[in-house]
Amino acid sequence: MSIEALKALARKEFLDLVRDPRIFIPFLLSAVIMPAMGLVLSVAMQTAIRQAVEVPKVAVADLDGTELSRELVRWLSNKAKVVEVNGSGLEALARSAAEAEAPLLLVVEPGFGRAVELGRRPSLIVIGVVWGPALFPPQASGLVDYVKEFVARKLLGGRISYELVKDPVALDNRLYLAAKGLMLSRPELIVGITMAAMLLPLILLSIAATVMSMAATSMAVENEERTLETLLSLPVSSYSILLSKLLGMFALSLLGTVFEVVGMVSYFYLILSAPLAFQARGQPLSLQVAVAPADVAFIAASLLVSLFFAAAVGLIIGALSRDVRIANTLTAPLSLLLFLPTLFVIFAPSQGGAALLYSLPITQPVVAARDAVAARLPAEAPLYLAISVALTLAMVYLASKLFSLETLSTLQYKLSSLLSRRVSRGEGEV
Amino acid sequence: MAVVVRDLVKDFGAFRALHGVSFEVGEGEVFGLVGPNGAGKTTTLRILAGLLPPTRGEVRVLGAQPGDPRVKRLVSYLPEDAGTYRNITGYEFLEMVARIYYGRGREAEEALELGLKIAGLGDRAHEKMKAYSKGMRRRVQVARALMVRPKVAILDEPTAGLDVLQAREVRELVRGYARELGTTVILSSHNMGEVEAICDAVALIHRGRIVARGPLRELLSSHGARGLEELFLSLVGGVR
Repeated sequence: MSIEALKALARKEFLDLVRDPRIFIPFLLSAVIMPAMGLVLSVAMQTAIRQAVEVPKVAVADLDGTELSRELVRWLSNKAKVVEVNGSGLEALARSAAEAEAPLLLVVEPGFGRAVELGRRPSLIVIGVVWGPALFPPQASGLVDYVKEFVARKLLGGRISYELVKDPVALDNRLYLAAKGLMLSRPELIVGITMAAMLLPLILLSIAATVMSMAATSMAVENEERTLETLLSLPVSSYSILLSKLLGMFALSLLGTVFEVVGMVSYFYLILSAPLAFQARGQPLSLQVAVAPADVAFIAASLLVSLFFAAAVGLIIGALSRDVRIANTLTAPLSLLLFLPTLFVIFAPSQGGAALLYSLPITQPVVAARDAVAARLPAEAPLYLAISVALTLAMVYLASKLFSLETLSTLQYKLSSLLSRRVSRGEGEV
Repeated sequence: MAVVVRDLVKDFGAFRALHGVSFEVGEGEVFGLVGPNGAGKTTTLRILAGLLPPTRGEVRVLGAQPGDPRVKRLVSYLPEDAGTYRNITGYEFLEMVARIYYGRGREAEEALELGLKIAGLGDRAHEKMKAYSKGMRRRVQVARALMVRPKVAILDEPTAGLDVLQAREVRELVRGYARELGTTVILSSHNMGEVEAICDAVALIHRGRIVARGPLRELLSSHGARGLEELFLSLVGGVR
């Protein structure tokens, strides 16, 4: 078969797909949804981290009314925005704090001043205020630290420095991410990185599923509209017909991947910006350090191979389906089965089975995305990419062996009969 | 002979679709394979087009086995109810066919020109085919089959589903261009009147068996029938 014929068929496939605006919906959604998810998670994480280290607006109920308690309120006013509230009982005070939009309420109980003067431990109550379900409840540790500092200074009376009592050893608590060789200035930063490493594979998985479904539908439409018979009667081999369909689909996937890569990079940037923002001064940690450009390029290349593979699987499903309905019925459960290894990747530890996961076209971009965020890509990554390409081409070759009208008709007939039996049995049971 | 079929048998699992079908089609002839739905017309034509392998028997198209790459370029097949691609234009579809057969040369341009002329789409050639009427889509398919100047054109129910005017239009296209291009045409139909209007010779097929075959006029006169329908009913006794 001439290259010109292959180009003509691939062009037909591409134009027929690209002119259907519905085809772009999943790609556009992923370009928008990924950064949106990144933004939402980033905001949530930043809020949680900020609440852990900063004191937000505080409502204070001074039930003691002594000079010392008044001094505490003034002290807190220099550290955070303080709103004084009054009321009878804790619930009434909490309601007043909620009305004042203060997420924390500090109740200075009667006897506070007296206890400090006598060198005893004074009683205080801290109440967190939420306005509904919350993933991250208000953190009181910052406020408590301030109050403790105030009381400690009073108890020490200037004889020993408060800073020395509070921190008698100069401790710098860090976390080392061994898989990536990355030093984090605060241990809690690992939360953001772990979330990014777990969520990105899920997003890539959904993209592959979209392409598979698109390919299955496209091929099923050929059966339903009876255009496949025309194609098979042309002076081209069935292998060429399949290859041209994949090339047309691949060209469209390239276009779609541009959207997805934009979404993915935005996601990386946003999800990592939360922990990065809290890296200590003097320890620069840029996005390039977190996810290297070479890693992003590898993931993009791997994603293309993976999409090509998913499209090939989709074409086989579509070819075996007499119509779009059957193709859609088959795509969902089969994609779940096919993506089981991917789910393993998401939740499995970094070590173990890496060579296999890196060699399979479906799992490769997923495991690479995870490792790019939370670890390092292996040195053999280019070799794994070559294996993945070889497996994909083998898949296309095997698929072309199915591609005769008689084989397809027989398999379609058997599949339709099987599905009809299942449906009628299901109806009978109802 | 352009096409020779002898003792053709086709089985689909336990079901036998063709029971020893035999007929011949001369070069330049317009030959009709006539019979009711399920008689075996489409199976026969698919075998002639090389889309299905025969179970048994001899099939020769232009002296070679159907599906032979050398023959495939010289044979056009129009499936029954062949659809069109929704989002590409008639022009693009015919251009694709021209390129598959001839690449980018002068021959390809001539084939495309002929295809556009047969399809008769005018300015609408550049509209997506989803906007075409059923008759227009069928004309595009007929054009696709004839524009490559095939030695043999196999047309399965070329007028199925078309209204009277559209059907007549397609019939005239087939008859006119077959003569002009010297193409051997084998068409199937369950419309006896249509076959009488354009075929030189016919074979009547019923339940996978040829019940009569020969030049149309001779066949009618030898059986004393006024038309194909009367002949067919007298041979099968009105049994489906």
